Amino acid sequence: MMLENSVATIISLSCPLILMVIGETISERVGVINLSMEGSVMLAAMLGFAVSVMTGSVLLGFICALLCGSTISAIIALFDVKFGMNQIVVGFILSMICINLSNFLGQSYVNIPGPRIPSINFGIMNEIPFLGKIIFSQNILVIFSFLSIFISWFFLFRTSAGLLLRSIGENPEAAKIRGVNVNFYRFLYVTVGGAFIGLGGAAFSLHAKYGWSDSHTANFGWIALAIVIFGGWNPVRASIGALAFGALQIIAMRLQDVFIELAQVLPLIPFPTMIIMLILFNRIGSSSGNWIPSTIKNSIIGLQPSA
Amino acid sequence: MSIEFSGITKIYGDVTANDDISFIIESGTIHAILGENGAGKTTLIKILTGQLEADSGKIIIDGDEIKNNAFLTKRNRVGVLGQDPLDFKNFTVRESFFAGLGKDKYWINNKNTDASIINHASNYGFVINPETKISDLSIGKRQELEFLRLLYNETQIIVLDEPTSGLTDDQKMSINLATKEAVKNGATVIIVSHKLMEVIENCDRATILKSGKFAGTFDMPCDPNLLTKAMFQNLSRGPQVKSKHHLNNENIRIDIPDYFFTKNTHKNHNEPINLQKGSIVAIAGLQGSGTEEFIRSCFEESNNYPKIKLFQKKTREIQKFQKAYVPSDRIEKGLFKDVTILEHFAILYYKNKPFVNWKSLSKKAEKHLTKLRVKGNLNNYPTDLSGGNQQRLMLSMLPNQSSLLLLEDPTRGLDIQSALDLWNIIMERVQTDILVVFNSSDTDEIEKYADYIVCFYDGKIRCHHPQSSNDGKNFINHISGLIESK
Amino acid sequence: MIERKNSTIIRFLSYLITLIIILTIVVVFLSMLNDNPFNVIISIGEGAFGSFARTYRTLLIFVPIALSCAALSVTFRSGMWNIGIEGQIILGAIGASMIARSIIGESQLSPLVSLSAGVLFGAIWGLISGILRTTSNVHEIFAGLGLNFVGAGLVIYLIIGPWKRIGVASTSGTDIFPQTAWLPDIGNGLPLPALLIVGVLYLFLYGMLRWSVFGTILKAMGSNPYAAPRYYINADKYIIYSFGLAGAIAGLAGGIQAISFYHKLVPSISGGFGFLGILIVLASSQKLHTSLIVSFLFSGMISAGPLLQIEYDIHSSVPWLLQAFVIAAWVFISYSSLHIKSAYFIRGLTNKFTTNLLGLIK
Repeated sequence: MMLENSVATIISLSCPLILMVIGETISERVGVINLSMEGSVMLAAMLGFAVSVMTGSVLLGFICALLCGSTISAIIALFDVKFGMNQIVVGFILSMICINLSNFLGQSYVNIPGPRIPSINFGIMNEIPFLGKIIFSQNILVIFSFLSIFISWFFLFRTSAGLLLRSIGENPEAAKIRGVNVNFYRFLYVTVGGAFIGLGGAAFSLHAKYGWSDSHTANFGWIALAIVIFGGWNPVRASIGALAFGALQIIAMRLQDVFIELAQVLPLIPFPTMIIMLILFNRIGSSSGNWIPSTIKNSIIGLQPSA
Repeated sequence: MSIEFSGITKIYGDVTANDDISFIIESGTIHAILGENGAGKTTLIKILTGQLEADSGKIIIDGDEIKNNAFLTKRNRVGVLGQDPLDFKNFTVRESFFAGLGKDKYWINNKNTDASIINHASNYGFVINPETKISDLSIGKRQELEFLRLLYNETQIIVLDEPTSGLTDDQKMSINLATKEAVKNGATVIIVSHKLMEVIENCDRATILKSGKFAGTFDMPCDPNLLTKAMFQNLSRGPQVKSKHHLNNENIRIDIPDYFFTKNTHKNHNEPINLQKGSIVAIAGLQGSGTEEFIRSCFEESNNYPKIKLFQKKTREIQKFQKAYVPSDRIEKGLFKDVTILEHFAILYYKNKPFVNWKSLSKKAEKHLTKLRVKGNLNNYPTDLSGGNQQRLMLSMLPNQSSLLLLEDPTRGLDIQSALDLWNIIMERVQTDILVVFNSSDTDEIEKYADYIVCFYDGKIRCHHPQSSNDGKNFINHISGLIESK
Repeated sequence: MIERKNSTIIRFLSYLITLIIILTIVVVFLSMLNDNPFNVIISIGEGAFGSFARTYRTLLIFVPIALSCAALSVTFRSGMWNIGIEGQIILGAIGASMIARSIIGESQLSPLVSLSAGVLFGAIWGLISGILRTTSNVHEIFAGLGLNFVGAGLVIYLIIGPWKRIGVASTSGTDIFPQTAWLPDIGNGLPLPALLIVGVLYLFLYGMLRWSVFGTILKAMGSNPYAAPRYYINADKYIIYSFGLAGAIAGLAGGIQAISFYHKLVPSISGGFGFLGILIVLASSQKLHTSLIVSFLFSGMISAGPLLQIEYDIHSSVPWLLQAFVIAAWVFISYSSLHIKSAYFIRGLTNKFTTNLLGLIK
């Protein structure tokens, strides 16, 4: 019972991160790294909550958050494709803008109540031992995020459209010479990725960490970026990373009563652990094709940020 | 489809890559484009595929004039097989095959698609495994795969750029057979190549480009000498600056690892090369035949090639700081765009010292610059200089105790006058206490300046001998692969 | 790059245009908050420099920002993104705090030793970033982020754990350090030593980057690391050095934060100044003097934050938001050379105008 509850909670609370890493995986697979994620998630979370409070509709909140996320991603894509500006510079600046913008605009929404996501009753499905509790008693959002894992995986690795997407990130020159309109698809998929990120933001403020407060989603953007790499740009592995992170958070919460100090620190431990594992994996696995999108590799190495 | 080039011209600054080129490629033929390095072949092909836009002229396919990129976007009408495989290293064979196609909307059923590509491959005598990762395949296999892909898509115009480089004999035969099959099915195949014998054997016709201009279309088979005459023109034999050989008594020995030899290499390959300081060694070979790698391996270790060791005074290996290396990509590998010329000298001469005496450095640098007739002042940035001046700049930045000067394609991108100038400088100023090793595919240059020639063909050394010997005089045939092993 | 070739008139004009655009943005932004933006601007001035106490506070905010910019100028010069700067600042603060809390904290030498510890800790943190970057290529940014988190975790752990306040473990920080451990100030609180440190450091960096071999090599690595072998230079070595140096300077900033501004260790010891530094250096194209001026102005804005909140009910995030917008606009202008193109355009117009005028007169 205890285990079931915990697992259910983990899945439920990891939902925002799962959506975020799926979105960012799509974006990076097509060659665009979205360094603004820390900010765009926060802004999407704020907007989602604010709109749903204002209109009373959770759905509208999600839609707004989705639009917010896709717009910001589209801006990065625009500056990259149209103006040729360095993705990382643009992303970082946008991040700073969005973080502060969300705090600024969200002032009046701090710590106030709002509408909740309705849950679906699956009837007898609920009675299935274990699975019933952990999957079918969740709300729509969590179920959607769960499904997204498999849908995105399937799309990326089993459809020809997904293959096209991956080919753009893998070797844009080769894709171009095969007649693929690289710029168009880059734009498209970055925006789609942004949509997921936006949803992830709303998943925070309307579900996992309900409400809004100053820097409500702090650090989760950076974490998501790390998890995407940690997951090898594969939505399933990234989601597992997100779940692992969620698990650690739950453990920290439970331990809070017992080890006060550790509890404060524990939530922060996953990040460095993952970074370290990342680095270890990269060193071990570098020759066996630990896949790095070529455009991202070029963006990071030998940067010349001077304007 | 028949392809007609009509008045194609493409100019880059001072250099006219394509100069009013007009000729026709008949439908359903295998048509080769031959020419020296820099003759304009790659530019012409890139214009055909839409990667570049011609400054003037048009391309007419089956009677219709083509507006630039419209051609490529109608996928599958033109397919290119470049020297570096344009595929996706981390994909599986199956994925690389279908990427970018949009042929099948969904692609759920791996078994069916797998079966269709295995089948297709076997029709041409190839065996492929859809599961394999591209990165696990050799370059030859990857090229084969790309070719298969083009055939699978029923590409109507297939462009092969040096298709058989890096392939085993078996693979070469397969590609040639596949080419003939493709033509039977109605494709037109354009082959860009240096390999005269293969062209004569396998192609229907060959067009020669020379210095950006059209230099004739020949029906195959034909006398290879006709071709070489048209391809390798003798430049105006300017005043023969034959080296006043200040030959030192100091000997330098070059030990070449076995890696660079094949069973086709001629008799003396195992003997190390012994030369005197002051000599000029040419590593001759057509573009892509491996000469650049040789020069680079002389300078430092690399992942792909074993190091070439050079020794002076019998046993002392020449150290890295005694070698001066002038890469062919001047700006990309040899100079710092955002650093002034004076600062370049500072980096070279002061890198282990904390403080720079800028005054004395300026004087020293000025001296070097004037010695080499570099037009530019110390506060300029490398990009302010012309190509020739950049080259001279790099030459002027030789470390103090150089024993060896390695020049990668020294006159690449230089006009005739700058090239002459550069060589004059090398001969007059540089050559005295240094062994000069350069690689080039410019046969005239090699003939003019080299004392010793190492002939490369298809990635390996064919033979090496002094210029004055009989083989030396025939080096053009060696580098074109015309003379088979004895 | 283009600036080298332009005449002084064009350059002057382009700076002027950039300034005008930025000021316009500021005014527009502020007018959305309040009917009279100019009042707000005056209030910012008041809040930052209205009294001696306020001025000293502003200066104390200025110091870590300026030091961040200095640190980042070094790494950007070598072509690197040092996103781990926040962690380096934190580690510097930890190092300084460690000394301040120890027996050394009671002695007169404490500030000196503290800051040295801060420099050391920050340098080590930076070196880790550098080494990770050169040995596993991609993760410059992710190593930096990870180290930031480790630092953040470490500081929280220390504050509520081993270094907790006597009696109550609170995230508001450790106990206040003994007075001897504080960085001394002059008169009523003018943080002269801190300012001197900034001044000396900037002079040193300016000289180093401009005239020393090391600085030139850094610039070369930033320009084209691939050409390094030709000059017998090991690019990796210099990149690691640049991270170490940047970390050292950032650690110094953290140390000053600990023993000067806060006089204790708090969780938010880096104050977001690291990231702010990134923004400033990006916008000022790595020019040290520009970074210095912008740091000063921004520190004024931040310092005036509380006053703005009281007088105009402006949220504390506003100064940061405004700064981010300014930087965004500035980077965009610089990148697209909007200012230079406009300068040429204006010159063209004035030329036409004067020729027409002369024509009329004749």
